[in-house]
Amino acid sequence: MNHPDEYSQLIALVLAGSREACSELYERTIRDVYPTVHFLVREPNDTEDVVQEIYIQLYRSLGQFDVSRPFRPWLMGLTMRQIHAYRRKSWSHIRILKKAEQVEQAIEYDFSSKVVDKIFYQPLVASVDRLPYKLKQAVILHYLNEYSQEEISVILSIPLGTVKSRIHAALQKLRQKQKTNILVRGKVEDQHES
Amino acid sequence: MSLEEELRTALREETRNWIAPPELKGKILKQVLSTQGGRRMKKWLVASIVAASLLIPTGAYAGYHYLADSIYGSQDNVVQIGATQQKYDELEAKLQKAKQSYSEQEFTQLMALLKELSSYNLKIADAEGVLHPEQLSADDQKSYKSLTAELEPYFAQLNVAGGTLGAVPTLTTFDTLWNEQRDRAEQILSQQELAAVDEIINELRVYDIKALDLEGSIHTDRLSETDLTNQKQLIEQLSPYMKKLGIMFKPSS
Repeated sequence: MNHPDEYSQLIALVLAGSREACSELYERTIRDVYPTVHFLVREPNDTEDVVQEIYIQLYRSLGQFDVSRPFRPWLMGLTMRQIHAYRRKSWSHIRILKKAEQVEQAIEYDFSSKVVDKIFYQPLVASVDRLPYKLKQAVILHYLNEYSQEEISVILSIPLGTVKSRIHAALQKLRQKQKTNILVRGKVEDQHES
Repeated sequence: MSLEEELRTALREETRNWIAPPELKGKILKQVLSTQGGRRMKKWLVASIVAASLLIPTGAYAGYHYLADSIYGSQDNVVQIGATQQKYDELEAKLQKAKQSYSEQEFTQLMALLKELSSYNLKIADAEGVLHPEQLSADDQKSYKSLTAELEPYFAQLNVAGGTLGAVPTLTTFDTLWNEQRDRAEQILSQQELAAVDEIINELRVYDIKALDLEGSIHTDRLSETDLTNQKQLIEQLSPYMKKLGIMFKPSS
């Protein structure tokens, strides 16, 4: 985890109006932000919009950020809030996708973006994607972004206990799905071959 | 591998190629940097406009601005020259009327011409106030003549367009005055001010009626002492509003 100090210098420069600092801040953080947004926001076009919104918000509220606090979790909290706002806006879109979540098949997403795969290569990831949003969110933060449960509690502004129970519930569901998949496919080896 | 390990690996693998397109960075930085500058500039603009708008009204309403002052300097100067307070008031009334009727540009022009004219007049006027243009040098005389020529159309307009704000204050009831001026007042005064004046005029009407005879001529002697005092009070209440409208009047008594 990065020291808050590393960012506080950069932040000071950004607030002073340095373009280079703005650029560097983007580079340093986009590798965390982009995949997270991409995973939680289905549509690739929307992903770019949401990421843009996140960074606009970031530069706007950077002045109020307390530099003694850790920066990355704060940014991730901002990210989560933007994603949440996006989800609320496109509720009808999500309704359709929620139905898809219930279907126990790999779903083909129509990604027009050149860098993204059409299907999740890892069935486990596909299963994660089909988790209820709150559980999925916790899994991503903990296993993809590698935040500790305490950090996640801060990021999402929820009690630590809630974080633990969500991750626990997610793992349970994933284990169940694995078992079901094995039953359907008949062999344990299949799981690893794919 | 535990499930947790599996998860980490799977997610990492899956998202390995999930890179933000480079155009996105350009878009974001462009927007962020432009709002940064834009908002600062906007704030500066807003601040300066607010400051300006705060200054201007206070300047305009800080007491009555005698237009004639800009020509003569002050009312005292006028008396020294030999004019009377009444003539000064008349001039003021004319100028106010001119201000209302002319465009800003025309009016500024007029004022400039008048100033020039008065500087000449000061040189050539004698103790009685009679003008002797022959006292000017040849060059000055020429300028003086062209000046008067320029001003002629203005004077013609002003003197013809008589109205109740003419050179001579005509004796009139408040009611009549207000009826004639109310439309103009609607534009100049605020809602509240307009309502206030309406009220005062209504009260004054009562005295108007008392003082009026069948033919419409005014007999102020018909008003009792108390009536006159009340009337005077009401007129005083009216004066700030009347000043705003550029109406000057004096009770006939």
